[in-house]
Amino acid sequence: MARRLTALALLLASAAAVADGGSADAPAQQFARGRDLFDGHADLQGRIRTHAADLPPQVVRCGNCHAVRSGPDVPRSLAPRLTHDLLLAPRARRGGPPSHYDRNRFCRLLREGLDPADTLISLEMPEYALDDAACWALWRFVTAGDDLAAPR
Amino acid sequence: MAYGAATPAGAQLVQADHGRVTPPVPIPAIALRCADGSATNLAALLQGRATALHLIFTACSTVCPIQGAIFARVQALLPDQAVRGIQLLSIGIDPDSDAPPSLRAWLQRYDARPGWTAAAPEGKGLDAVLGIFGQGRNAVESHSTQVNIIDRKAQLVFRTPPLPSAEALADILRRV
Repeated sequence: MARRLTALALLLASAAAVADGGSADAPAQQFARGRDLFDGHADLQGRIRTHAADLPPQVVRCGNCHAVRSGPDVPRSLAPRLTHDLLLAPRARRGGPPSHYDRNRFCRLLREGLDPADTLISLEMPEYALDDAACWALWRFVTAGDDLAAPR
Repeated sequence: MAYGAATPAGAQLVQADHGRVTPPVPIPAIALRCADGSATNLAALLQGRATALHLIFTACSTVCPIQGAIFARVQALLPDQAVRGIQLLSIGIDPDSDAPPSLRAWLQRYDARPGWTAAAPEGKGLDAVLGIFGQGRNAVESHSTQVNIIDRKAQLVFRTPPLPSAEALADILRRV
């Protein structure tokens, strides 16, 4: 009986992880993978939307342009600092009704360049070929609280 | 798209958009310091070659690496670049960071071959460079990412859209 209950608990925990982060990876693993993708320790595949070929991974790193949470600035970058509040708090974009990111909207932005107001963002932001696991890992990383963001 | 449209400040001449520049705009003799430390002027550097010129700053981690990667791919697409008399020119627009050693490091970062030069304007040359190529975006951090195509008579003849593809750029350069 106890063994059955343990198995059920593991199954439920796994299902919860899938529902929350979209993969059976533990949140800490997902966070770490997202951090690696963000910092360029793992390669991203991206291109400018008007180009037919990918750019080298080192020039499409998220961290080239974006600071994250309370981390260090990216010197002389005009790209927004990615914080829990910036992504998740409703805000009006270009005069439209309030909108916010969720995991699916975030992935659409990365893959197609469309923000939550269905508007194409700046050309300078590459479009990425990302599978769900990679995209959800990035989402977990950029929306984590500072308490989770221990130094590498 | 007529050359001569004023900026909101009315201070500089800019090209309104991208495409052919009509009539072609002669590039003046703006004093430059090249990556190898030598002094020259822009008109002299451009004379006799078809040139793709972009604006960068070497301390930039954001859009400039993309600009560099595009030029690197143009070189890969144009193995006969020297025979065709084509050059690529990165102009550093940050007086605080774009000294010759930084310009050399910029070229090395992209494995630049002969035919890709980097230089920075000296003195008031920066204003002249931004006036011709800056598209009214004079802040270093938000500089234009268009590529300027200059013919063999040192005349600006074409502006690409922002961040053009290497394939498009190589195609344009073959036809200048």
